[in-house]
Amino acid sequence: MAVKQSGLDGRHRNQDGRVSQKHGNSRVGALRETYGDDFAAGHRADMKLSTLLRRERAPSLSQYLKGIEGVLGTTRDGVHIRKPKGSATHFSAQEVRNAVAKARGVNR
Amino acid sequence: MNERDVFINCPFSADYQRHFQAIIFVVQRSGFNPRCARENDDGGEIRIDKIFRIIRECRYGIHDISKTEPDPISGLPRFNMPLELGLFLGARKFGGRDQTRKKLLILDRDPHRYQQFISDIGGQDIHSHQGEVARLIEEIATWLRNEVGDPRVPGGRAIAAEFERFHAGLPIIAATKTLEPDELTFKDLTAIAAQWILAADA
Repeated sequence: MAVKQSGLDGRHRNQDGRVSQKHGNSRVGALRETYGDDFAAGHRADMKLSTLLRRERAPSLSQYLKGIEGVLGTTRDGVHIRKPKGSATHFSAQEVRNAVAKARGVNR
Repeated sequence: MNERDVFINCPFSADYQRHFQAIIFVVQRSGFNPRCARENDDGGEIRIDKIFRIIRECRYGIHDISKTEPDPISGLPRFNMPLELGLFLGARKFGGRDQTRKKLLILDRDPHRYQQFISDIGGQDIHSHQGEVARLIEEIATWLRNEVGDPRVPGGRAIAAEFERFHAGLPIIAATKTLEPDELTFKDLTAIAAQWILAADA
């Protein structure tokens, strides 16, 4: 996940620029300024970090970030779908998306 | 060892293909990453070394030992599944501190049948799927959900219903590349299943 500059007006930062884990009052929306717009996808921007970590069953922000590495996306019910190892043999990523969209359209 | 990687040890025969696809689907739908000996077509890596490497990297293992029938051509049973199960158990036992955290699910067709052909695994977590895909999905989904304690992962029956729709869509997806579903590789299936699952919410 790309780390953007700035985020919490310089508050509650470690030396590496990331938000200190101890500040559970930080909001998801503010953290998205640091960790990218896809940080905590599916969660409200005004959710507290402490609530996010509790819901994601992560003991700390660093553990949460480690856990979502390699995530392709998140389902509506909140399950993180992992990026498969390696690329498809017969399809590009765009071809997979198009083929799935076509099949889903036909099946509806 | 990757906390979300699941080693899949099962038959790759044509009559087990739907079961294999179902295992891939339920593992991904539950938020895990399926791994198996078919994930890499690199001919430069010795097959057993590849299996060692994948087993070492996986925290979890799903082992279906239900296929005990002799091969129709050779007349001999396939021993790869019991071998890979043994390797996984060996890694957990002798692989060092981190590897002792490995967890495995063993599946067979009928309960207690294993006692007649591989009785030494008694005491492991052994479940039966009775040859049914829906039951197989339910067993795996329940096990994975219990392992991570994540209530967001849907139940096995819901995932089985999702799999039926996925399976019905596979011929259409394969046809976009003038392929038959049985020509899709493991890497194709994992890429397609991941996209299918996420597209459900689009």
